[in-house]
Amino acid sequence: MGQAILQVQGLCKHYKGVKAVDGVDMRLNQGDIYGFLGQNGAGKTTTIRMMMGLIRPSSGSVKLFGEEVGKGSNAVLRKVGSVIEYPGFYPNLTAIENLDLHRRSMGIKDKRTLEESLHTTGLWEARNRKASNFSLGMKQRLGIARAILHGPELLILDEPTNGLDPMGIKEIRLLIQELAQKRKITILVSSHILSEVEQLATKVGIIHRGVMLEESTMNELKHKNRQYIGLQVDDFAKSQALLREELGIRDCRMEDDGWLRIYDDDRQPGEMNRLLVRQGIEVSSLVAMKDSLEDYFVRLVEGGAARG
Amino acid sequence: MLWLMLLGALLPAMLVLFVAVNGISHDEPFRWAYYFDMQVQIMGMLMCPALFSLLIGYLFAREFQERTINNLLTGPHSRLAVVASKFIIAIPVLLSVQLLTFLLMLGGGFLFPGAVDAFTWSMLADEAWKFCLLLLLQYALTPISAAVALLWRSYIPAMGLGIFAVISEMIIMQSKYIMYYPWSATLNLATNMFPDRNSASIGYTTMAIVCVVPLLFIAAYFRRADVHSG
Repeated sequence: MGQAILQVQGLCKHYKGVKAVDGVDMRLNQGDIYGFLGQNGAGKTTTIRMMMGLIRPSSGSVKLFGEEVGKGSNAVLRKVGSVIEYPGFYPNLTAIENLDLHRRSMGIKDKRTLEESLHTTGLWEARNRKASNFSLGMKQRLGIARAILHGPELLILDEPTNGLDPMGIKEIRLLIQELAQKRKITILVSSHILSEVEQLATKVGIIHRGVMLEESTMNELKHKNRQYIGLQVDDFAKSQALLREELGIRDCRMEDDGWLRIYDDDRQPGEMNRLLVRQGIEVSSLVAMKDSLEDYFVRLVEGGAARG
Repeated sequence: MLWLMLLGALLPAMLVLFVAVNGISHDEPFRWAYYFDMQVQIMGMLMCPALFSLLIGYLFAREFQERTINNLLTGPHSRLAVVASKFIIAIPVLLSVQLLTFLLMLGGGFLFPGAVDAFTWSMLADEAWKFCLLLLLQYALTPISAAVALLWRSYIPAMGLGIFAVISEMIIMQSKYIMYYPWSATLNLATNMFPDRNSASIGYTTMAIVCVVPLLFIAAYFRRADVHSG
């Protein structure tokens, strides 16, 4: 386990009796790419705002680099770069002017940092364009350029792929990976797009209705994800009934993606295939598969909802 | 912002010019002394309260509207430093408007040849001093506009406050409470329009209260407030 960069303990935020964030614990170690997962309104942004000192927790604590965020934590924020929700810029200034303003406010003397940031984010060619003329994807990258300008050790990105097209999403993903690998920045990225986080994160925290349901490394999560046999047949209801009655398979369900999933480790695929074909059912696909992060997330959230 | 400043400077200059033209068309001779008095009165009564409130509101609320506030407040600066920097940057902004207005008005005066009284440097110095005093006193009122803009996170309420200030000031000017009302006190301190009601001690006390109370409010509120914009 690496050195703790960010530690959140029992973090709560209540608004007029509504628990927006309820007892969240998190730990980011050096070198992590932490995927902070949750549906819209789950409490991700509120948690991040508390981490950055933008809003005050009702209770609990946030420690950045071992120092509690709150009064007098300004110096530690120098080690953090962030893009929270939507990157705001002065629209009448160019990209490089916006970055230069940030450079001066951070007290950075070296102007080469502007060039480095713009090159890293692929915006060097657009440096003299006004921020108001930037697309959302470019603004997201400019936001990241600004966030990394002062060479932070921790980068916090709140929904950086929100509203982007698939190409834009891919560009941001590659950029985040590059920052983690080349600049050795520890990254926290919040998202509700699970497939993105799955490709990116080394550690995942899943928040639902303000409650942290799970925090584990991606490897641990992969081990937890169950294997199943996926079937595509021409008659799902009959197949489901047959598998239950003839083979005693209990955990067999029809998913929205058009697959019949059988979660039963003991059964052999051949046995199922033979049974279905014998009964006149056409089996077009039969594969051994593993739950994706999305499946796991849905299971967890449904479980959390049932508990709640 | 630049356009707002230019327009804000041009408008009172034009207004003073029209008043002077109107006077001449009614066979009233052009007098520098009257022209200068009119300038300060129009600035103090109409333009400064409305325009300065709008400019200050814009300076503060724009960070919320452009969502740049997140970036400002997640930097290694205290929130009070951010607010203080806004008040500091307001000085050259308001000074530029005031200076530009002064120069435009002054230039406008030379469009009227054959003034009854002679243009003198002491007259100009007196006028410049009044403009400086007006700027200083109006600057002391900016914390109210800033507080309103921060509270609603928009410059519209600050603009509304400016309009309210103009209207209410005109009403209060008719009463004996001139020095108890910040905007009318500002005008009377700068122009001495009503010498019999011009109590500097009451006026400056009013100004000090109106300056300090909103500043304390801003300091307390902004330090504690949750920032959601963006």
